[in-house]
Amino acid sequence: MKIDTFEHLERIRNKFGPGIFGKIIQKLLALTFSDAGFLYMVERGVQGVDIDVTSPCGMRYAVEVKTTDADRITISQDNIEALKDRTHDGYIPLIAALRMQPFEDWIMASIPISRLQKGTYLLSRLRAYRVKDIESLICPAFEAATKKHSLGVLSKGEDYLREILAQKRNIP
Amino acid sequence: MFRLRQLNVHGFRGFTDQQQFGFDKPVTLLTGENQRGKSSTLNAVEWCLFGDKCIGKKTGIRERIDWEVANRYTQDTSVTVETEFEGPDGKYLITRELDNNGKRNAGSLVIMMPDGATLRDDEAEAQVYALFRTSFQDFMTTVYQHQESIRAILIQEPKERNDAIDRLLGLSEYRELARGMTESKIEKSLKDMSNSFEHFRTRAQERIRIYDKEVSEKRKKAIAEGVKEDDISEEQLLRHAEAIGKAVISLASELGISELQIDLPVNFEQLERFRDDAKDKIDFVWLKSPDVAKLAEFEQRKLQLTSLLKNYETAKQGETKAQTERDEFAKQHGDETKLVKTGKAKQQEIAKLDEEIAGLNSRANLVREAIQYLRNAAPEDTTTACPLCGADVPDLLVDLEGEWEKKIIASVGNLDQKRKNEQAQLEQMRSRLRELKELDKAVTEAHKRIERWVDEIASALQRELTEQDDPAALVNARLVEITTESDSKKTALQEKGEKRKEIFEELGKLRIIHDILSYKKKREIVERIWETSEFEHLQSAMDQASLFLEDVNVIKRCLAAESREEAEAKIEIAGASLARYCCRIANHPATRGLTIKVSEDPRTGLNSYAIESEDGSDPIPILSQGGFNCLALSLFFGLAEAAGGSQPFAFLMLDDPTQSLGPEMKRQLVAVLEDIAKDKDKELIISTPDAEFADLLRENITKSKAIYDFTDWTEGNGPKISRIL
Repeated sequence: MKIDTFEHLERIRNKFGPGIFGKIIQKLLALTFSDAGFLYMVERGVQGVDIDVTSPCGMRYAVEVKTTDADRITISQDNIEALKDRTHDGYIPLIAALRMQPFEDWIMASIPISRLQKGTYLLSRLRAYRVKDIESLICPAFEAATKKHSLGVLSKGEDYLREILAQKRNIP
Repeated sequence: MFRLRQLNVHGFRGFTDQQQFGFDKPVTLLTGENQRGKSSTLNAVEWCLFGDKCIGKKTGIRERIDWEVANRYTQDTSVTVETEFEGPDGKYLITRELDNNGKRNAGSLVIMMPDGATLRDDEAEAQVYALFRTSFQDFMTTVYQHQESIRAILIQEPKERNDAIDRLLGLSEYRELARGMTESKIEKSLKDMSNSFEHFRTRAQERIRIYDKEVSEKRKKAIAEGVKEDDISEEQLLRHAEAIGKAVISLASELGISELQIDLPVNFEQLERFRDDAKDKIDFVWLKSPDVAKLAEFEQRKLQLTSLLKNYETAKQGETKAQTERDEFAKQHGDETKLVKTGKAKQQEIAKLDEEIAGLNSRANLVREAIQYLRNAAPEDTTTACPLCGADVPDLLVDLEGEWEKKIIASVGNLDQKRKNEQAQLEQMRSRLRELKELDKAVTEAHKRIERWVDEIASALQRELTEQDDPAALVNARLVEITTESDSKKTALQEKGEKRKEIFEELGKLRIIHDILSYKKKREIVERIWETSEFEHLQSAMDQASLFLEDVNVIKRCLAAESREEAEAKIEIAGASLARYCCRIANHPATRGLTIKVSEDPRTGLNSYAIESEDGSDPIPILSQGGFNCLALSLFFGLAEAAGGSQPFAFLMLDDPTQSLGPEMKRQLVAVLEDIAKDKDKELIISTPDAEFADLLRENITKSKAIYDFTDWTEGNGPKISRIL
């Protein structure tokens, strides 16, 4: 991500702390999927997979969102169970990982469920499973969404994004 | 099934001349001390069949690394091993040869078929495989029990034992492949790539931070100097530069330089050149301006005249001082004439005193002589007539000695003193005279200095000076004139000087704005790195590296899984036999119902073997070395039995099987071998240095035997072997 985007996000994180920040990123990503033309987007704040989306060409993805400062993410057994659950419904598991550093972008990694094990995954390992098509849509859209909504988020936090997402759902 | 009938060995390992072995009996024993060539005989069969597949790290046998095929002690390094097999269709003669330089360990293979057809090299290799359908690993597992395998399993270290059991089960290749992948350090290479990239990213981030800081500081400075935020753009900057260029040309014109050219910048990149050029041009027009030149000239003149005046006045003061000192001296001590006259008078006076003193001295001498005479010549004479003047003096001597000497001495003393005084005064006069002359000289020099400065002034004023002229006044008058003209020029230049100053200030602002925009551009360049095709390539390379690593890990996992499955399958096949053989040979409670369970080593992903007794306990802590050997042998017998009819070879080869076995275990082993020879219809070829075991075999194996006794070995002749029927 560009420096400007990073600075927007850093301000948000400094204001709300890492826990809430993770949820904000999840909602921002959901918004990004919507802006990038993905359909039937469902974003969950609690149990289950974080985001369900359908790509413009009809592929369905169950997205687990992870943010990190370091060079790795952690996949829990709950994450795996949730993704496994969705694969039964025909969803492709997708790990969306964002490292909070300038010049780092979203990695959209589609790891086969059979290979997914709980534990720590180096971001460099996720590269082997990148879905470049999704990344090419999401990364620029995420920059634009952050720029557009950062002030609103700073002002009202998660609630702001909840309202925006709700509006998106109401649009047929 | 194929039976081994004959073996011919030449030049192989410790062998020199050709040795022939016949395997015409159900049991063949190779006996004798260590290092006599027994194991090499069995290895020769192996090498003939498998070539370089039985050599090197991939075999899993440590001793096979750098294993030498050719005899190192002979000049002739050619190797020939010929094996004769009896198969269902007849006799097969397989010959493997190594050439004289012994470099290709695989050698060249020739097979003569029962119908007389001869195949060579790759065709021969293919035919051998087609006939026997046995890999080297399978041969090790089910036909030829290597002494190294038994030795390896005797090692108690779990890792080494796991390696050894993998080898026994013919799974070394999996292990070596997995190990090779680990040792290639692909993961480390990827990590290094990631670290390099991270280092680069951090540098870029730091660089941007520095640029942002510079921009912020310069922006503050610009605003403090009156620059507006809207002015900080490339377009405005070029307009600003244009305005400055025009101002410079205008100033030049006002200063009398009409044809000044200055190249205005048309883009951002030309601004730095324009800035330098504008500054140079301003300095140039200012210096070259006639008014400025005139002003400079005035200043130069003023400096010169002021200096001359000062020097003249200093010289004047010097002259006055010298003259005053001279005059005061003369006043106090007299002039030269007076001093000379006084000196002469003193000299005369001194001469007179010298005469007087001389006169008195001669009279004093006479008196002295008279006294001496009176004392020496007539001491008793009381004469009273003076010998000098003839006067009659009572007590003449006393009188002469007393009053006359006193008088003379006193008089001379007085005169001496007077003379000294006069002399001193004369010296004083002379000193004063010298001093006076010095003072005169100083006055003269002072005059000369003044004259010199007057000449300089005359030259500076460009006119002649006479004695009626006052040089100082003339210089002052000229200074006043110059000052007046100079002030007039300054006033005229003041306004232009203000304009010049303004242009410099504008240039200063231009520089700050240029710097701000330069840093912004640099920042953009850094940010754009992430959009370049080179960066794209780098990302792609890292993705490919990651994918490669992932594929390698998948392959490793597959290999591990495959190895485990195969191990499980083989152990299951050999399972019952394993326990039975082990129990028979070892006859220890710990070996009852012995099973081997295989699992994955979580650290390496390779096979990890756990041996369990019937009751589920771990027998390892209580198994002896002999117990481990039993385990290895049992595994071998179990797998050989399980291979059964699928195994093409109708013989088993055992090399030094009694390592660490006690007498009872040896007897039990012999009983097992008797059963195998009888029931399984397998021919046995056994190599042993153990005399006790050899005796047991001879006495207890009921099948007929051929015994090859390896009695000696020398470098020149190789093994010395005798066949005992």
